[in-house]
Amino acid sequence: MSAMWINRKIKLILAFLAFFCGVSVAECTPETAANYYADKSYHEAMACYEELLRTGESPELYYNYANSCYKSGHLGLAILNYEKALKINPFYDDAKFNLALANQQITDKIDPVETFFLVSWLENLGKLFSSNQWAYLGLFCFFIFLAMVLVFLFSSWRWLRKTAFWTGFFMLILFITCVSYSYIERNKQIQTPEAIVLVGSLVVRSAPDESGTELFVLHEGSKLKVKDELGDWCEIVVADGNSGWIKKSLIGKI
Amino acid sequence: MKKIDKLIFLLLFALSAQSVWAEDVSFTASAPDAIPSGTPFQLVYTVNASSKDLRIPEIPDFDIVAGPFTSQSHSTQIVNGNMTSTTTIRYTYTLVAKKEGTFTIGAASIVVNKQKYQSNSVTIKVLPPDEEAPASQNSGSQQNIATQQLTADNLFVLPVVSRYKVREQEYTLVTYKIYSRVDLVDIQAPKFPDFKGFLVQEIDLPQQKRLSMENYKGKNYNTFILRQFLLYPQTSGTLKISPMTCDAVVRIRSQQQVRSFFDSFFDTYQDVKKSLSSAAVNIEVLPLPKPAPSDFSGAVGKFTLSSNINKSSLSANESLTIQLKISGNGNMKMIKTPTIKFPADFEVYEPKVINDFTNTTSGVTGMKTIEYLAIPRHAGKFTIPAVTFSYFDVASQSYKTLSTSAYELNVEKGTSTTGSVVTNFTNQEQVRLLGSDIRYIAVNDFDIKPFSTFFVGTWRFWFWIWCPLLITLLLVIFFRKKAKENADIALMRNKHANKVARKRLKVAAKNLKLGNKEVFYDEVLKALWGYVSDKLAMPIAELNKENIAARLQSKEVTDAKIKEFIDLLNDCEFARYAPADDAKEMDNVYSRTMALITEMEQMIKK
Repeated sequence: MSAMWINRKIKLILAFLAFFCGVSVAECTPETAANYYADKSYHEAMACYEELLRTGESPELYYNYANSCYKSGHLGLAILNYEKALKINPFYDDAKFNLALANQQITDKIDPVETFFLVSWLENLGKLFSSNQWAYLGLFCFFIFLAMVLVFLFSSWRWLRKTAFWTGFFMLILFITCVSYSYIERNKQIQTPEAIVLVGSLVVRSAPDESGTELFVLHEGSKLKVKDELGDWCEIVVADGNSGWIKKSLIGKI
Repeated sequence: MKKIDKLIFLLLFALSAQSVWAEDVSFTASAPDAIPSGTPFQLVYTVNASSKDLRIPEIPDFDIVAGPFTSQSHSTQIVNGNMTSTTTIRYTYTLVAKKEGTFTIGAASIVVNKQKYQSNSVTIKVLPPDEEAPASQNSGSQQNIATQQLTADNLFVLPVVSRYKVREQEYTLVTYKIYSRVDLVDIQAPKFPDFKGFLVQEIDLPQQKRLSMENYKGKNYNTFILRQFLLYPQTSGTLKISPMTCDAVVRIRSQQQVRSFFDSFFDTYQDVKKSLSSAAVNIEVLPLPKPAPSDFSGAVGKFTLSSNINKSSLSANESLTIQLKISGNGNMKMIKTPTIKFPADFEVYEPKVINDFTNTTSGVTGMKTIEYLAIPRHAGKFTIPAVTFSYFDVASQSYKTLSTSAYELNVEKGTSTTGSVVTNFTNQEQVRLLGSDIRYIAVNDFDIKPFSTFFVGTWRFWFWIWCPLLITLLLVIFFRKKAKENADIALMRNKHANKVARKRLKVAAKNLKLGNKEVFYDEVLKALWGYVSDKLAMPIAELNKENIAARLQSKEVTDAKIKEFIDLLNDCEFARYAPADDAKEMDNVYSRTMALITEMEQMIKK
């Protein structure tokens, strides 16, 4: 009888401990986060995904985090993380769909500067893959090119040599294109990284100073490019060509 | 019980009656504002109810010449069956001032219906007597004036300016006064200057012109104010106010000779028109000192500023009102509405301005109330900065800046879930949107990889470029070498093909002589196959009749020779296992083989 009582007491204490520890050292796995999300406790899901994102990344993780942000009303964060997911995997359909939906709720309507169609076409082609994907594709083309060189040099059949020559030539061009795009995309992201406005509204000023002339206002979720940085401030440019200075803490880089 | 009721009723009635009386009784004293000393004048107490026991205060500065005379008037009015009756009792005293100066006659008291009432006090200015014509004892001033000559001295208009030297935007009061010692009937067609360079505010005067007496240059005049203007100079420098003109109608005793008997009894009077013109006035306007504060917008005078906000915490899309009150005295109409610098994201509406000004002889006084309406569209903490208002203080001759306090504002998220306002959607799109939601999270197992870095340009990338390139190069070199070796062997075999074939044929010829049929054909076949093998650089195992034909064709061997070659092979294979032993046939094969090899040698060489 007394043994049973003690047993029950120990169990109770253990449960108590587990409860307290569980709050502070929550074992965050994608499963627990997904459960939070399913229970519509989006804030907890957000916190959990944030925890997971400290250890590593994956498009799905960014996507799930973005969904939690969206559901808990953080439009800017949601858009930022959809973009991050798409940066790793530009073919992520769900992320594309949700990003489009979130973008419809942005206050700012920014008309991009019109560019020559060929230029925008080439730029869009670059966005088809991420920098690393372009690099892998380039390497793949390079390997085929090398193989074709060997075939061309040592094949005793004429038709094979002919085919190998043209295939190799084509692969070389593809290789150069892919590596170029890989470099272009990388430099774009290093030199002028894109960012998303995370606060309700922010004032863009003419100088990196609180007293700078107020140029225009941007709202949560708007996309912009970071041109330059100076201390706490960064110079940004919006798609319509307007630029100015804002505090770094108000935006999140993709 | 009933008795008490009655008593209460009576009491109530009495009280109500009392209150009716209390409301209606008025007891006033009236006397002229100014009077020349030695001239008798009337002090009248008026009460509008039957009264008794008038007690007037002590008036040591005046002699009571006559009075009190009591006159009573009574009027009854019936309007829509309601009868109202008024009684007016006037107590008239005739007084004479003993000396010059300003004196106040205190309040008198009277009892109406057992209630004591106090009159107002009266201030009387006693002027010195006329120098030229001292007032005669027995004639009234009115008559005295009427007898005067109609000269410029006796009737003129004077612009009385309160200040001749003012600051820009500081008021000066100009009063047009008529001075007359004649029997003035009317003023017609007054024409006032246009006050160029001034902002003009006219002071409302009572409809009834108030006459008063004034001593001007040793003479006593009846004066009244024609018009009064507050002038706010708009520019600095000397500003000239051009003269005003008007026509005065004066009643004078007829100068005609007495014609009839009655004329001498009744004075005949005549209305004469005289045009009057005031003097021009110069007003010196000093500019405002420099430098002025940056937010100075031209307000001059004495002001106070206050503001209040209707709420300090609200949710997005709710309206917010800030009220700003500027009150004081000065050029109120010229005050520009101060702007509140709302945070940039606020929707700000045109402020509503309520002006409540009155023109007094001491300038325009009043209050300007400005209501600012703004709607924050997004959540956040905002600061509405303080409003500053600078003005030139006339009293201290310096600029003063008033400031309100800044307001801290906490805007919470509105009802919209995302906190942003969706306004530019058409209805159709909105319906479509309402029905859609973001897609669900990814629930399949996914790997969390370490954070990716850029691959291109790293040493790994270059490794993957250079390593396969090197391998390929090595392969090329290796294959090249081997191919060269192969090519050398083929060439040697080619060169030696004829020799080898002939050697074999020699062995065949030996066997021919010996009659060793099988060995002979064996050797011939070996010679043929070997020759072709060497010539075409192909191993014997790969050879057969079909591909020999094709290969020989590519080496430009004629079809006839190829056919001959194939036939020879067939013949040899056939003859080898044939039962017949024909030496002639063997000879034939031998010579054909010798000829064919010789010819082919020549053909392939080419």
